[in-house]
Order: sequence, then C-alpha cells, then structure tokens
Amino acid sequence: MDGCVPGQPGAHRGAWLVVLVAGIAGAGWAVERLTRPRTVPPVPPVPARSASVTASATQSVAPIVPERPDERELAVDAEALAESLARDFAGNSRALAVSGRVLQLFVAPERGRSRFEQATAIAADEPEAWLGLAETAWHDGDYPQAAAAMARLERVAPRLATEKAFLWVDSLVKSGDGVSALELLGRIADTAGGEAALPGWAQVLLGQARTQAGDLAGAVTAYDRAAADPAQRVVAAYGLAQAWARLGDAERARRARETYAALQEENLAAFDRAQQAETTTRLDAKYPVLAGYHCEAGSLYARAGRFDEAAVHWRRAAALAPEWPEPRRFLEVLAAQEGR
Amino acid sequence: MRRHLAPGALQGWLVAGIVLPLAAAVADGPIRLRDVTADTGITFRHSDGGAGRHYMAETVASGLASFDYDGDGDVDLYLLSGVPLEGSPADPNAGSRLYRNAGGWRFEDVTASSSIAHRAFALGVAVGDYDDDGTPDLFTNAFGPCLLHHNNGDGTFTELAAAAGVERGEALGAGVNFLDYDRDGVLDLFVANYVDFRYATHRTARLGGRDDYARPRDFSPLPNRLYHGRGDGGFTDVSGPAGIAAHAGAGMGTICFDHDDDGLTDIFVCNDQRLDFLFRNQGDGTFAEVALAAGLACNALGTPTASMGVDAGDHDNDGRLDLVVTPYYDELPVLHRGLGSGLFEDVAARAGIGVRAVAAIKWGVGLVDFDNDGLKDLFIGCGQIYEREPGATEREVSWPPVLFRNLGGGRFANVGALAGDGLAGRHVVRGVAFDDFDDDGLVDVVMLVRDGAAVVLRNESPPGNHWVRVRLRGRAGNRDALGARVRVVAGDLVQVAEIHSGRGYQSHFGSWPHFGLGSRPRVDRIEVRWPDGTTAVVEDVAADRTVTIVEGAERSATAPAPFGAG
Repeated sequence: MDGCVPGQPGAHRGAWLVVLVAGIAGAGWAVERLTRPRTVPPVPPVPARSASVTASATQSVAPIVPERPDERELAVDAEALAESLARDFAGNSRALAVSGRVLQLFVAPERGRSRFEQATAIAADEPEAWLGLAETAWHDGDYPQAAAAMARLERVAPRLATEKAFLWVDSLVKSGDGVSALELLGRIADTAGGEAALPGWAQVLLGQARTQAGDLAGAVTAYDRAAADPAQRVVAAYGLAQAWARLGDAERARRARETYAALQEENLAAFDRAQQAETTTRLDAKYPVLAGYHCEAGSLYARAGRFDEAAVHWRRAAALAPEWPEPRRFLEVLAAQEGR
Repeated sequence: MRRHLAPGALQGWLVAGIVLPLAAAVADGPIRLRDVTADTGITFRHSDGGAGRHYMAETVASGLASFDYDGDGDVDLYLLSGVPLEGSPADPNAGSRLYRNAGGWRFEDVTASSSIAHRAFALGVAVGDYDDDGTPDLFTNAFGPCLLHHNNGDGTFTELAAAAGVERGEALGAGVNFLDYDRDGVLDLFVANYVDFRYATHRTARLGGRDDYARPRDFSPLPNRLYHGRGDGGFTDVSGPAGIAAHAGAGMGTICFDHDDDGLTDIFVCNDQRLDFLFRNQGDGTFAEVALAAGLACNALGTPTASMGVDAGDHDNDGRLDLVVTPYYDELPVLHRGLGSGLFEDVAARAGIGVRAVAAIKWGVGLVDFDNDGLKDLFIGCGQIYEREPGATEREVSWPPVLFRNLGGGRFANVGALAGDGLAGRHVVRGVAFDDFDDDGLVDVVMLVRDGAAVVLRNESPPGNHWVRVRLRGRAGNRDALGARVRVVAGDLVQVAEIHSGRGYQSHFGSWPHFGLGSRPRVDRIEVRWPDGTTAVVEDVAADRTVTIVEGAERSATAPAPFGAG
C-alpha cells in the first residue's frame, strides 16, 4: 500500500441509502464510488526535525476522542480534523478539499460544499474539490449542478471523471438530459469495447436515457443486458415492465412485473436482515474511513514540517483502524528519524 | 447513440440551458410566506403522547383538516393531537382542537363549545357530508377506536362512530378518505392502517448505542378498511368482498382519485417501506390492486420508498392528474406524471424537486398555486423521526419546509431561501393543510408540528395575478361532489382538478379547488364532470372570485356563499 487508503465504502450513509439503494439499483455502484475517499499520495520522506520542534512522535498524546467513538464522538473528531486542516492550510487547495470531504461525509454536506468552493477558488484544477462538489450536489438532488461539476472535473482530471462516470451519467439522466447521457455513455462504450460490454449499471442508465429519448425498444435491449448483472436485476426488471407497458405489450409487461415483485420480496427480506445488524456494522465501517483522512492529514502536516501534529493524526488513524499498518509505519519512520 | 462529445460541452449546455433560465425565472416572482402564528390566537400544541418509551404511535403523529364547519364561508381548522400513551404522565391539555376562523387572521378555540372534545389519540382526518344534511362531518382515524363527528348544523358535533359501525378496534390508524366509489350518491369511507403496533407488540430498536424507535418493518403490516355508506347514516364493512382486505401494508397518507380517467374513483395508499397500493375501482363494488402495473408502486428506480404523504394535481397542465409522494431522507420526492391510459412515470429527478429536499424526511405535501400563475407549486413539510438519526451527523430533528416554484415545462426550482420567514423556521412537521384562510385569493399554509405548536403561514406573494375558486354542490350525486373533475379554461391556460376528501399526510384541505390565472382577467369556461358522469359548463366568468356550481343548475352564485346553504 503506497499511501493512506481508507476502507469500507458507503459506511457513512443512512440505512436506506446503504441497503435500499445499494441493494436495488445501479445506484449501489454509486454509493461505493461516491463515498470512497480517493487514494492519497504516499507520505513524503520525513525531513529532519527542526530544532523548534520539541515533542516526540512517540510521546504519549491523549486521544481526542475514545478509540471506539459513538456517532456523536465520531462527528466531533471529524469536525476537529476538518477545521484544523482549514485553519492550518488555508491556502492549500488539497487540504481544503480533504477538509471538505471530511465535513461532507461526517458532519454536514453543506459545509463540505462550502469548503470545496474555497478549494476551487484557490486552485481551479483541484480535482478532489470538483468531485466533492459533484457529489454534494448529487446527494442534494441538484443533478444539473452535479453534471456541471463533473464536466469541470473532466477538464482537470479526465481519468478521475471516467472513474466516476456513474455519477456523471446518472446526473445527466436525472436532469432529464437523456441526449447528453447517451453521448457520454457512447464515449464510455467506445473505451469499454462496445455497448454490449458496458457494465450492468451503465446498461440501466442506458435504458433510462433511451426511455427519456423515446427509444423504448432500445431501452428494452439495455434493460435485458442489465438483468444479467445480479446487482441490477431488480431495477432492470422494473425498467422492462415499464418499457413493455408503454410499448403496449401487456403480456411481457406482466411477466416483467412478476419478476420484479419476486425479486423485490427477496430484496426487502435482505433489507430486514441487514437492518438487524445495521447499528454496529454501520458505525464500525466508519472508523477506517475517518482513519484514512487522519492519515492524510498527518501527511499534510509532515510535509509542512509539523511533526507533532502529524504524529497526532497518524496516532488517531492507528487507533481508529488498528488493523491498518500504514499509520503505524509512518509513526515508525518518524520515530526512526528522531533516532529512537 | 452519438459519440465524441466535446469536453466541457455538457457543462456549457447545462449552465446555459438549465441553470441560468431557472435563476432568471426564480428572480421574477418569488412566493412570500410569512409566519403569522403569533397573531392568530392559535395556541394548540400537538402531543405525541410519549414519555421516552419510544412507542411507534409517537412517530407518525397527526394530520389536520381545513374546512368550513359552520358554513360562514371562512375556512376553519381542526388540529389533531395524541394524548398520553401508556406510562406517560397525564396531560389534561393534550388533545385535538377545533378553531373557528373569525376573520382577520383571528381564530377562536371552539373545541369545548362545539362538543368535539375527545381523548382519542388522533392520527388522520377527512371531511365529508356523509349523511347528506348539508353540513360537513368529520371522521378521525386514531390509535384505538375511531371517531365520526356528525355536524349538527348549529356549531356543535355529536360523536357517532360506534352507532355508524365505523369505530374499528385498537389498530394504529393512518390516512382516511370519504369517497363515493359506487356512485350511489352516498359517501363511503376508506380507513388506512399503519402497522400492527399495540402495547402488546411494542418494541424498540438500539440505534447509536441507545434505545430508539423501532422501524415500521419490525411490525406486521395491516390491511386497510373500506366501508360502504348505506344511506341511513350507517356503514357496512366491505373490505373483504371489495378486495381491500387481501392486501396488507403500512399505510400512511392516502388519496382517492380517478387514476385512469374512467369516471370511477380509485384509492391510492402510501406504504412505509413497502410498495404503495393503487386500488383500481372495477365498477362492480370490487377493487384490484394495480399499483405496479400503473407505475405508482415505487419510484423511478423501482425502489419502494418510505411513502408518507400524497397529493394529486396536474403539475404540467397536460390535462392529466399527477401524483406527488413524500418519502424518507436520502430519497427523492416521487412525482408520478400521468401518461394517460392509467400509466404513470416518476419524473421527480428531472422536474428538479429533489434539490435541497433529499436530506430531509418529508411528510405533508400539497400541489398548490401559491403565486396564481396558473402552475401548481409544491410545498413539503419536513421533520425527523428519530431523536437523532445515528448516521446523520448534523441532520437535526427539525427541518425547514421545502417550497418548489413551478417554472413551467415540468420544471421546478427550490425557492425556499427567497420565500420569506415562513420557510426559514425549522420544525418537525407532519400534516400540512393549504387553503385561503383570509379569502384574499392567495392560498395559505398551516403546518402541524409533532409535539409542538402549529405554524400558520400567510401567503403574501405579490398581488396582480388573477384567480378563480370553484365550489361544487352535488344533487344527484354526493353533496360534496367528491370525485368530480373540474376543468378551467382561460385563454391558452387549461387546468384540471378533482374534488378530494383526505389528502396530504393524513390530512384534509382544499375542498374548493383554487386556480391561478396569471394575467387573464376572465375564465372562458368552467367544465364540471360530476361523479355520475354528467357534465356542466359555465362560460365567461370574471376572475378573482369564488364560483359556486350546483349540479343541475348552470350557476348558483358568483360570490362567496355558504356551501351548505340551500
């Protein structure tokens, strides 16, 4: 592992988003993509400590919050992290983008958006901030804004925009702009080896975009392909039922509805089971995500030669995700540089 | 499929094609809603009956009814409340309240003098003249026995549920509607149930390391009930033979409307975390559940939402009724656009009604033309369920309501930030009612707040646009004209509405449909399709007034008049 890679995508969302959306529709893919913090650059070599720095990286630092914080404690921890980054790196677009992401995921999405806007004002080529703006707009139901932010992201980081293609295409479809969505899906298909090779989530969006464009027969083709993907079977069956009904084929529509109803029953049963275990798993899944951001904060402080703060954040990361070796490795490097 | 999209082209198109026009349209005519609660004399505070035990009944709270109970032409208010649940301390002040509209934005508490006071845990309400005596009666769905308040016509009510056969049992109730499903001129009654919560089935959930409310799916679903009005003041439970009892759900808001324009009233039921129901009226006294086939069972993704409130209206003025449904947080509101032939398509996302509404739990709802521009706007009351949603960080218990202005072309813009202090307050809203309480031609808002004070919002949008309001009185059919379809033609503006009893979140409002006319000073035609299928046409009507149309007569009045008179 080259750098700080937080784990457990999707952990911060509510039960409905995690289970229903992730379980039923193509948006499940989105949940993973939207909530997974990006891999951050590897920590730089730790420079020699300055004489002014007196604290040891291995000295005992009281934890900010308990090692197994509850929801409120986790939010307090995250907010403190986000605000320290904004305060100490006010001119650093990357730090502001990370700060925004922490606020977005753990504190309040609207505060994250504000931080992303600050980041793009400093550096219009800060991809994480454009992605953050797109995601916050998407979660806020403002799909035209989400699509616009993704278009900006493509200018500065085409590869990342491609990686987040679901967010872009879905925003276009939900904006009612099926034509642009089809154009974008066409580009994706070109790189994927043709339309038939598109993954299930893309087939679902293709079906929805074609429905908007009035190409119901084309929508049926896409939904049929999507149904081959287990994660998309439910939404594909629903799309097929709607498309066949509008095409006037009552018998096929009825069969698709029966398929949908049966799959939906299974899905809701799974939802019920998931809810039983939700409380602990949902909270547990958040720890490594926040650990990842603490780890990245440590790297930012280390690059600035502020090793005490770096050590605090790496230690916090290690406490939140004890099975994750990276924070401890960084602490060991820091300790070695100190000659301990 | 076109290929080779130029980088940046989409963004430019979006900014030029959507964002800028929306911003311009919003700046043109903001809706203004001002909180005037303190001036109204309404001191009602809802009680959810709870005292920390997290009973399921506390979460659903209550609706409200706006209607003219005393026939003076002013719209009065009936605000529902819970009462202390088992284990909660006594609270003599808790209970539903009836307020008489005294004019000038003053309301008088007439709960005691009207003899409507009761100690039921009230949840849902509908208004209808079930005994055809010319005065509106009230049915209240409850946790426990229901209430049927017969309007005595002298400002008082008599509770007759048991005598009428609609008392029901101990279920946790939800929305309720009067309707005339068999078009015999006698009102029938649809009573929704939520889930099988009783003290014996009470359970809690551990959320965020503490006890909190269980989820609806932790309880068994319940079937709903349909009562046939006999015409003698009594009702017969026909839930089984009518095909209603065969379908168990978790009912919340309900509305009765003609989904396929066949002249028969159908029944839509919001279900919490389950597929919604559409009971299609087959015209022979039976109903078939066809929500999935109609495209009304779930959202565009095929996801069964946690549906709370519902309203019907024609948001795009295409002559077909659409349905808006309010769901849970992280769920877009659902806007089922009528496609004709009984089919619907969820167009919420591209209509833009998710913007800054997704994160809230959404309840009371109305498709209402606040600025009289001839386009139905969308108002949604919001508020949390749990004391603090464990995974929701700053998602607080209270939320400001959401207001979307209809921009035309099927698009809406969130104008909450521009719409006055009435949209700034944070509340835990459940039912919302929409009516013109000061008869100034602008539709106002009342919000019922769970375990809090009601909120009254006066519509102070800029004057200038014209309007017309239509009161119908049936003769051959039911007196309230429930199920009648009204079509208003003013130049190039054509609007439709239907008469409902029970809508929104377990509430009742809008007995007299209101139509904004924009700059048009006259209405060319008002067409009415009465519940029995006969039609009436009134031509060349001046704007800015209430038009009363009596079945069998061309027009009875062009000025406000007591609906029950004559």
